[in-house]
Amino acid sequence: MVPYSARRQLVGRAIGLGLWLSLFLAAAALCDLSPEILRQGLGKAPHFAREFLPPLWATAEEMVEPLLSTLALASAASLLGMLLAFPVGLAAAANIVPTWLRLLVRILLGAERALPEILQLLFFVVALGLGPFSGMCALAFSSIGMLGKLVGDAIEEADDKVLESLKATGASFWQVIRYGLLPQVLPSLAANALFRFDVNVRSSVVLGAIGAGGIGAEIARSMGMLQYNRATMAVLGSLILIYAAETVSGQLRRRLLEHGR
Amino acid sequence: MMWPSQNARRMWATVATFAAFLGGFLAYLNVEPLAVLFQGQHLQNLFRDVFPPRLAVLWERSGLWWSVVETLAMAFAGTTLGLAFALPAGLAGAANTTPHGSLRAAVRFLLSLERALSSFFILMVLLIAFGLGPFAATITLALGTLGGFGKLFAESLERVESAPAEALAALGASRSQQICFAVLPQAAPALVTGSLYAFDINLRAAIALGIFGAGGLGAELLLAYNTLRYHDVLALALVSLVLVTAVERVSDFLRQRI
Repeated sequence: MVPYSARRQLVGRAIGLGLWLSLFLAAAALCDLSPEILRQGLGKAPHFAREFLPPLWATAEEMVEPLLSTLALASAASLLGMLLAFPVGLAAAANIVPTWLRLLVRILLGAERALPEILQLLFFVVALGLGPFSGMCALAFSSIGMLGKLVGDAIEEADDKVLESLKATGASFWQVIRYGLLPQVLPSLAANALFRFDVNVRSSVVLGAIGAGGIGAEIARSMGMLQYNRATMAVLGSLILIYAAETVSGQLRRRLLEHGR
Repeated sequence: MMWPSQNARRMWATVATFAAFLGGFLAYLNVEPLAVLFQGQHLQNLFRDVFPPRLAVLWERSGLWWSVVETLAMAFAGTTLGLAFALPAGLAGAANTTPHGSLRAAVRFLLSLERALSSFFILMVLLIAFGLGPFAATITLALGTLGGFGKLFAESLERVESAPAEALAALGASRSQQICFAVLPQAAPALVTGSLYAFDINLRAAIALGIFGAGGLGAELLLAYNTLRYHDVLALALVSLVLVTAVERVSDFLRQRI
């Protein structure tokens, strides 16, 4: 005999799974997910392999400049995002600013995180024109969206006693923030900013294809000109960049956390 | 950690290094941020060209709501397909459930390769292979889900307590019985939470891929953008904002119930 509560749980799960499955079948029909299309596409695989491989090694040198540009874009956006995240985080912390300001800043940060970066890039391109600067602004914005919220949360969780005792010694508002708050949140901010750098490098490749230049533009242009093996070379370059960024970011974060103990 | 607060000179050195790096990157990118900010006409242009959003586009364009449905369908189908493959990938990639160590290494490598490949490149290749339409975008989203959540699932599986599986082994349970009755039940909450999270991510990605030619709401955005209807672009951006936020709320609600 199955106990009543367990049976109810089982029925609930079955209903949930059935709902999910029927939704999937409806969505799959809308998206033309048919084995026919899959077979046709997979039939082209050998042809694709010949077009895309081997990478056009002769263009390896041409990829260095766009790669550096993408790296510079992501680095500048990460630094800028980290620097601005602290003041934004202050404005998002209940123990620093009035409730209405905190709410406003939190809503804006939430809206920023909800919008895809590529969509934000379109607006920056309208304002600033095509080029890496628009891409940097878009990425700096999304870095602030993430880091600002995290800093705000960290400040709200910061040790009040430190701030109180600083105030008791007659420290001014900014001195309390500088000597009481900053040392408490800086390690986590630095670690999160390093993680964000990893994300930014990946994103800057994508944004490049829409107008921020760099290696992403190189990939998109090669594909557009049907030079598929050149595109493979550019993708290979972006892979190296992304792996390197991931490794450096991970190592530095680990070292930061070890020192923090 | 020796933070510069203990030493003012070190703090200024850090700040100076930061400023030097930032300046160097900006110089390399050939931008003069101060000039851009102080000329101010750029911001003025933005406000003139983009504000206010032309909300009329929401009922004037008949295909718009259909494109929203299409984006939701792409995200949902991509999530489900991706998760269906991410679970076996996770099982093969976790040290305590994998059939063989070399399979684990191979799976982990392939997953990290997928994560490093830019989604727009995958989409472009698939668009050529499968033709224009939501099919290529759905597969791109499924692959992205596989790369991200295959890794996440493997990590969740590796984090479970080993004692229950050992207890079952002592009773003579086979490896697959241990996985079914000791490892998976422990990891289940993490897997379900991750699955709900995957849909949030994929909805955002589906809108972004639309801008690269995958159809749906993103395609509407791109069309408005390319025909210089910037007021419409802002209205459509607001639609995406509402859509993403609403889905986030729903998945938060479901997560809390589970």
